[in-house]
Amino acid sequence: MIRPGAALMLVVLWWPLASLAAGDTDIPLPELDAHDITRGEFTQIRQLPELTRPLRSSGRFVHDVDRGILWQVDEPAPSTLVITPGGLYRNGERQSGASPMTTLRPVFRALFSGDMARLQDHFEVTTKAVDVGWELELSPRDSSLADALASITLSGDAYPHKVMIKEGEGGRTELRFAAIEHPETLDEQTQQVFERVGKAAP
Amino acid sequence: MSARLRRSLWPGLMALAGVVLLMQLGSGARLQTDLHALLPDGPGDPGVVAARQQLTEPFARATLWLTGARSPGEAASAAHELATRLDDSGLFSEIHTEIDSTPMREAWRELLAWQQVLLAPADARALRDDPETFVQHRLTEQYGLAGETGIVRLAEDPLGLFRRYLSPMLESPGAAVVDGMMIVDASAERDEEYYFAVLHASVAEAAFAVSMDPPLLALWQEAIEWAAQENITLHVTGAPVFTAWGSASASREITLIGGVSLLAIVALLLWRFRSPRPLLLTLTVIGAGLLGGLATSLLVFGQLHLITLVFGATVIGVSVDYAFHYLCDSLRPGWTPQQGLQHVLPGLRLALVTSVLAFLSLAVAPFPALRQVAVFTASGLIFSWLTVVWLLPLLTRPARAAAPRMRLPVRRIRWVWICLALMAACLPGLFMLEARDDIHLLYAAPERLLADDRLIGDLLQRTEGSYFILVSAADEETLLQRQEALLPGLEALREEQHLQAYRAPVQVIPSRRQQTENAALTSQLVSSGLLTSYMAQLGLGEDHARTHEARMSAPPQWLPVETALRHVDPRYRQLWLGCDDEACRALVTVQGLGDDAEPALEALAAEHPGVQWVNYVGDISQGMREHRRLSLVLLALALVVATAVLALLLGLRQALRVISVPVMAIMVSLAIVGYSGALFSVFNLMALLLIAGVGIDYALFYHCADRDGRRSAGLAITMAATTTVLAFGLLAFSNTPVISAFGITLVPGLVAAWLLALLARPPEASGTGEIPDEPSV
Repeated sequence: MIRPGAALMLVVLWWPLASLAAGDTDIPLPELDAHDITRGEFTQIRQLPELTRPLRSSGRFVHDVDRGILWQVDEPAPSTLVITPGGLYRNGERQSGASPMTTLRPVFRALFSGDMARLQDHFEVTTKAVDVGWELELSPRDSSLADALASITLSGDAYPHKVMIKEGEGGRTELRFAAIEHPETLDEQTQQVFERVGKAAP
Repeated sequence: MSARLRRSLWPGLMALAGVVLLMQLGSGARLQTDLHALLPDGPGDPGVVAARQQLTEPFARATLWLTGARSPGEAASAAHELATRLDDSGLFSEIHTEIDSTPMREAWRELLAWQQVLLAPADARALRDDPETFVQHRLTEQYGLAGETGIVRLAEDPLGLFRRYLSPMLESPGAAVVDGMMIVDASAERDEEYYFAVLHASVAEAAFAVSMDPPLLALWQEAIEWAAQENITLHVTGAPVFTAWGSASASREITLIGGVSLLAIVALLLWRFRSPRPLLLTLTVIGAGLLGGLATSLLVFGQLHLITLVFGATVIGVSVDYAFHYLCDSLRPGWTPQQGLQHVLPGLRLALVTSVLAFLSLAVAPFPALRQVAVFTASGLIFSWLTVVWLLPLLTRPARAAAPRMRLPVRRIRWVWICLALMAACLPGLFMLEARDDIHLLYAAPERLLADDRLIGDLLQRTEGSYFILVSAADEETLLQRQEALLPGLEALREEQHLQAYRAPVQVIPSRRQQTENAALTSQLVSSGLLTSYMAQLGLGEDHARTHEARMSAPPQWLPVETALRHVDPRYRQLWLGCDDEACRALVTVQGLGDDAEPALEALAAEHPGVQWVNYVGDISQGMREHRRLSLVLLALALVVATAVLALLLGLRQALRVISVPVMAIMVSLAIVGYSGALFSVFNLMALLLIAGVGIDYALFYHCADRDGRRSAGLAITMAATTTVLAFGLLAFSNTPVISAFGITLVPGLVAAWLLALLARPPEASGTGEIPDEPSV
């Protein structure tokens, strides 16, 4: 916990000098702790210009660096989404078609397993200067995603706090994380969820 | 025939053959490698033929190159560099890197105008059975991770019905576009983060030229080395690469086998005759045979199959028999060219008739490639034979050496006992023969290329061109309805894991009947209030909601097939074969078949009118099986015909004695294949035909020789057998399984034919003297 803190201190201290020297882009990527497994709660607020009120949902998530992401909505209606290297599964059923959501896997990996450098494989990453903590703006390198996913903004300090996804036509989705913990192993139930979709994969 | 006439006939014939060959080569005769030439011909179903062409034609010149790295960016930049290398080679007419999906997405968007009648088949079922649950699921989805995003806006398609209709077209194997390069995510396959960039390159015509060292292969090797240096992985596939490898390997094998055969012949002749003249004469005989065979087959067929070239090399094996027979006769004391011809002509004539008969019996079979082999071999033999009979007497000088005496210790044993003993020894082996009629045995390809092909096939979910369901009907609407009737059965097979996926045009182009039903379902969503309450729960703006309701309950616009075809994904469009005078046809492709999938698919097809399951590879293997059986019959037939011819000329007793030599040799050969568990297929039978032809030659040459000529005839068949075994024994080392099986079959049969011919000599004093014959042709 001390190492990222120190790194962030350096970022904060060096930022004015760095920005004088070469502009914003020279701010190094934040260094976050690496964890194989992350568990936490989320709230999602989705806003679209055609909707009169935002869609709010909340639930729990698990990120396993090898297996993928389990996204479990509890409110307003229960549903699960699993994103694995093999594909996308909604309520246990494989979803056909390319989905911009598979792009979220490297984002989660960066946020919870500290693998920031790999973000650049998928996104143009711009580091933004903020007063406290850090903020990154990602724009997808995959041009076919452009109309579905304009950009993703990540922010946090020692922990990631917020993901803001901007869709092509004015829609935006905000994800906030809370109660983040890093268990040593996955619980039985979660393991089974990943195994089931593993078997469903062709 | 006078000597003067013969003197002018031979050069005339050769010149004619030469001119024909040059003209054919000049008019672009090409080496054919398509395995479908091995299919039985006859009235093939025009629908099936068109369907197969439609599926495979785009691939004839296409090559796929994949560069793999641990990040999409690295993979893409490697692919860009590879594209430059490919372009510089000048072998490709077109190199595609960038996959621009924008026009396709725009085309799909235009289909939105018909959203009322366009439903995914599964959604139509769900809406009919339980619309409440269906709508509830759609609402839940809107609260999932980042909701649903896609080509159309939520306001245009609040329930996501249109997006779900489009989704099979959006299906691509995890493909993305990074730095203008199509990227495939292979992380699942490799259990680590890994990406491939995909490069499509169309091979230019020039790259197809047959050569021992095709530039495409050299380029491939260079690219592999480059990839190793750059620390990326490289995979290649495509018909041109396989063809290049096949033609290189065949050219190498032909050169090697032909070369060693020639060397053996050179060494034997120089050693035996101690003069270069017989050597040059033998080479002339072989050359004439090859020239004649090539010219005749190109004249008849306009092209040559790879298989013809490889097996046509057998001409050498038989044509030297004739040359040796004549040349060895010259070792007799006091020999003159005219006497020599008198000595050998009866044997030669019988040998030619029987061999040509045996080889031409192949042409009876309804297999184009085998017919080529038959014509190539038979015509080649006639050219060689004419060279021996017309040219050799003019140019041969009496030899300085004498023929050696042959001694065989078993001479005293009666022939019948030898035959019975051999039969007893061979019989168990015949029962151990295990036939394998698999088309893949014809293709020699390096393991790396095969592995690449499998990997790329899996990654890109490529459609297999060799099997499909063919649906035909009298008109377009019936064609679509027949496909619709098929879908539930296919879905059930998918759920039972008989297959992983299927693709039918009707999945994106509903029939008019289905469109009517879809329109009823969507307007019902409006009239039941389900859609209204859903949009209210979602919080869709009042204006948007009302517009959408109006759209979904308006009098429906039907989507015509032509319009639909213009807009749908090419992967679906290419499955629509269209209509001709007879019928309208479409394909349904299936992927990832399980072990028992074929009978299930066949059964499914049988249940529906106008539906046919087609498996081309299976058909070819079936054809090979039929042809193997047919060849056995033909072989027996050829031997019966030969016996009949010989019985008329020599008497039944002598005919049986002569014919027992090839029969025994064939039995030995089959028994050894059986005992050794070597591959047994239609191509072994071609080796047996050669053994039959050569066995008859050996037996006749020895049999027809008079007492004084025995020694030289024995020498002739010994030399012929030695060179043939040396030449064809090498085929056993071929990379192609069937060619190697050809060699393994041939060697024991040839050795047996040679030994038996020497043993089968008639008891005493019966020779050619009894056959009245003039050396005139």
